[in-house]
Amino acid sequence: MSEFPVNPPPTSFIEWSDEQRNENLRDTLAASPDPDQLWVFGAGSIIWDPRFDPVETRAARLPTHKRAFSFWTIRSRGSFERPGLGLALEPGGECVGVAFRVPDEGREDILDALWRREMAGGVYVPTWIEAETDQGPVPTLGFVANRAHRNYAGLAPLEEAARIIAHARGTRGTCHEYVALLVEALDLHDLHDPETRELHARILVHLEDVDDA
Amino acid sequence: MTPDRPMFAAADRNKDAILDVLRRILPESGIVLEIASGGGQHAVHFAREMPNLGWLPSDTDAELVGYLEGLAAQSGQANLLSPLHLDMLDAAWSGNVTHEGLTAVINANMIHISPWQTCLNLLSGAAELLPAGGLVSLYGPFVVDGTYSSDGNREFDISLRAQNPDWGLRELNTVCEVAEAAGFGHVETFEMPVNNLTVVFRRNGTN
Repeated sequence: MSEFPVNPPPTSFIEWSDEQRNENLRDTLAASPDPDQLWVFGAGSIIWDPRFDPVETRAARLPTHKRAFSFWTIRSRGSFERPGLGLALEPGGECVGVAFRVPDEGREDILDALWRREMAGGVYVPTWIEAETDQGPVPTLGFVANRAHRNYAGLAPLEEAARIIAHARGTRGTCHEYVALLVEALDLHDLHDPETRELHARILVHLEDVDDA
Repeated sequence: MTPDRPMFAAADRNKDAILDVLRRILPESGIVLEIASGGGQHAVHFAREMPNLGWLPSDTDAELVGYLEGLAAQSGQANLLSPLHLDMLDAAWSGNVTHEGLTAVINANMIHISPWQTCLNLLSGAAELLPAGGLVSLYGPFVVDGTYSSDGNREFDISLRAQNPDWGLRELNTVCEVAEAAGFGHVETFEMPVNNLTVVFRRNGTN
């Protein structure tokens, strides 16, 4: 995909209703290849803030998807005036991250909270993806970019992504803080993602031009 | 005696931006009730620009209602209806609206310049009046996730609260929660000029 952005930054935000979100959760669970073990693949903030006590945590690699800042965020890490880019999984390439096994106990509440967090506006398609781990493959739930969503921005050239992220700020903080937290979390888990590291380095250069970074 | 035209400068500045949103969300027919019409700039403008809809202005100020009455008569717009005297501090205000075919309740710049109760009453009354699918649109500055979208909004909030402790910018999430409790679902929140928002709710249920 060469075109960027696929869509301009949106000028309004839409939230999914409880019914839409719950239906999406039900449909996703119904499609699980192995309902006995539920693993969530952390590619971004789930790595450093899973918000549940996992039964097991494993370094994991997706051989089929990559990490990409490919949708517009206009609320939490960006605004209408200063839109940011949010992290999603995109088909192709590979992604190193962390797989968290969700406990059976309290599973319903954990998933409800996870869907409220990730699926409030439907920017992802929750997808079952087989992840490689040292102990063997596990089916994981990954949040893949929803290309049909109007917040979908597409794959920005690294330099363009760095410039946008450096200038974006939302209600949760700056967009570049998110990337810094990601780099920190990847280091903590000894995961090597050169492209994210490169993006972070380029953001730091752009930040010198930002007044209130 | 017709009172002089009251001054609500903001209503002149924002009327086209609000009209753009209304064109996107409102149905082809029905009556739109405006709460706190003030000087009537919105009602007159919208009635002219969206002639398929009936526009029903209202205000809590009896003098303004008299002014709006004259405005409706002079406008020659048959779809600009005779205004109602509605007080959002009266929890039973919807009982004073007897029109059939109401499709939306709209308001601009009220809920932060009046006690919080007016927002609660606006939503509960609108829920009583509107059929399933009916819309509520609220325009104004909001606090979003506890954050001001500009220094101007922060200063405005501080000055409002200094004037009256019951006033102040409202948190979007809280307004959405109140709307949901009243029987509405959030549809869309639009970016508006100078760091304002228009938040749109739809009445739940099936007719």
